[in-house]
Amino acid sequence: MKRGHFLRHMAWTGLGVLWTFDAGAGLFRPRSVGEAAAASLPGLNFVQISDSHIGFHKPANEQVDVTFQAAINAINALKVPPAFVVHTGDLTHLSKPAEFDQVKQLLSGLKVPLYTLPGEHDVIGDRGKLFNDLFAGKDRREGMQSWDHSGVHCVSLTNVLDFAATGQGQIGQPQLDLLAKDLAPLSNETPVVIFSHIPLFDAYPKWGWATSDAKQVNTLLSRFASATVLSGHIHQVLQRTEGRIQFATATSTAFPLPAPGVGEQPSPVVLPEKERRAATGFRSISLMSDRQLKLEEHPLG
Amino acid sequence: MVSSLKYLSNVFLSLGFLSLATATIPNGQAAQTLTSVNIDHFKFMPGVLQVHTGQTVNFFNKDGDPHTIASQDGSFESPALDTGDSWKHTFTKLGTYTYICTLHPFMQGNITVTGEKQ
Ligand SMILES: [Cu+2]
Repeated sequence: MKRGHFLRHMAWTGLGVLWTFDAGAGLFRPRSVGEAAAASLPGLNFVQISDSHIGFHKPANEQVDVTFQAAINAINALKVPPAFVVHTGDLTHLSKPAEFDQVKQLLSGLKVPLYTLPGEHDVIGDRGKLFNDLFAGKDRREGMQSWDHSGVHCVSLTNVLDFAATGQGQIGQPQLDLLAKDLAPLSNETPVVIFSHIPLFDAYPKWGWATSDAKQVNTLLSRFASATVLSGHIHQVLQRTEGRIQFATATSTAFPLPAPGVGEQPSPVVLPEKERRAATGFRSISLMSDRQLKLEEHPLG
Repeated sequence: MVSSLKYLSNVFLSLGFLSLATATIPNGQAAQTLTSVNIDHFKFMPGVLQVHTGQTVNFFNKDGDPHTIASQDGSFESPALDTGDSWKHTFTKLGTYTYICTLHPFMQGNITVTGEKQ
């Protein structure tokens, strides 16, 4: 792809900017960090990291282990330690045992609890057996895992094992049934955060950047006053709101992918190192006690 | 480019060898000809292919990105094929098989297996 297109895109996605969700207007708004400090106290603070692709050795990033380590170091150095870190998939590039060993070793450097879910790069050839052996939370069933922290209900979903005829991700009925059961006891006032690898909104269906049965998740989430869906897969920040549900995708720690439909195919974008560092990183999330959501992007350079 | 030329010459060599071998089998077994599907620019080429039972298809990834081959009925699935990797599958049952790349599931191909070559 042409670099100009890519940079223009990064400008609108606003890496390095703090975004808050204005529930009244149904919009994400950029704010300066100074403004944010004056806002209400956070109820829950956590980090999303994604698409480390350990094992990738191509010009878009010859040292994905080094950039992943840099992200881990930056997370460990955050002034307010996150309650936990969620890795939203594609830990490895090709599901190889050596790649899993390496990413597990790197992740063991995190000082706070870790939750993971698989990307399609983590389940090649074995429907995720190796991934599950190494990273399964003890409560994961049908690919789903849920936990509570500071009054916030969190759920991670798997949507990379089966694909609809259209080439989109799929959650599958057994997991959707389990999600319905999991959410049923919650009051409408409980803030809910859902994690998935492939986005649960139509980011770009032609490249499979969508989930065929995501509408059923939206239906389950529609009664909640605060519902946030955080995903990976597309190696860039895109934000969307549907009703009261707020969607956001994350950058990779390895390399960016083209903006939706820019170029012929979703191949890694090769950038000079400085620009690549600015287009990769992790995100911290604060759910304030007044249910205000803050997303802060932390580029690696 | 060099590696794909080398690859093509290997295919021609093995095709030549196999047809020679078939000719010497006295009891009329099916020809074990090798057919290729190339992967390039996020496409399987040819995307639609007809083979005979017992025929082996060699999938070769010429692309800069890794891909996989997985039938939608679950009957075959390759490991990850990175640039320059190949993987073979022998088709023994009649039918039409739709397959995708699990890394880029919008990539689809079709292989129809007909009766044994006479
Ligand atoms: Cu592919």
